[in-house]
Amino acid sequence: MNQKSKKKREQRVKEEKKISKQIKIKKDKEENLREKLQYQTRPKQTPIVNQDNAILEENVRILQQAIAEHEDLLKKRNESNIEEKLEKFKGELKEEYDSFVRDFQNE
Amino acid sequence: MNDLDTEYFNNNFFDIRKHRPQKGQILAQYRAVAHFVDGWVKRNLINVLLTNKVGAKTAQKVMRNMCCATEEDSINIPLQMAKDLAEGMTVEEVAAKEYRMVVQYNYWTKKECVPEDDPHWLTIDIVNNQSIT
Repeated sequence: MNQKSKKKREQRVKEEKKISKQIKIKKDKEENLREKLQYQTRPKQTPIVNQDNAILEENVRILQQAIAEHEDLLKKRNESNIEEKLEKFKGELKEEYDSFVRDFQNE
Repeated sequence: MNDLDTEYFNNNFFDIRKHRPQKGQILAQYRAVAHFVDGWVKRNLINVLLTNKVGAKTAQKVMRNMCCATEEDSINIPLQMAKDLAEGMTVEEVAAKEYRMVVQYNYWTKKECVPEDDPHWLTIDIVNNQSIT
């Protein structure tokens, strides 16, 4: 009888160990899953999430156009020799003024 | 700007965005090289380039008015940033990257207050009627 009950006890202990091991594995898995879930739901440091590259590409295109227009404008300014023209205009204006004064004095 | 102390500068140089010219003042411009570094302005620029259809125009205005970049760099810097993003750089990488630009600040001031022989400073003469006659 003792032998039988001893065997039963051993069997029971063995089973309990097996079950507790399974429980531990299950708990570990749950812990891992919980961690993963936490990571996925944690707000990202850079919340800007834009999967639509079309907006970015459009902005690149607009900026490229703007820089081309700016360079074009600079080129036109350099070609126009605006300072030279201004000096020439000042000279012509002064001549016209002097001529007007002379005519006025002669009358 | 380092040669002028803060008090002298504040008393004699007036930002043209905030002040009207007084009699006897001229326009003086200060230019220097700067780096566009990580901060809330840059992060906002990145955001508008990525998410806003008028992001390009907004970015230009911010660079020009807030950061005082030159006309060219107010287009160039957002363009470089947008290209970097389009080529696969992350937001963090673009934010961390330093973009070199020229900044310019315009002030009303008296001619004698402007440091001489300083290549950063430029005075802009305004042609008036009296110089023609």
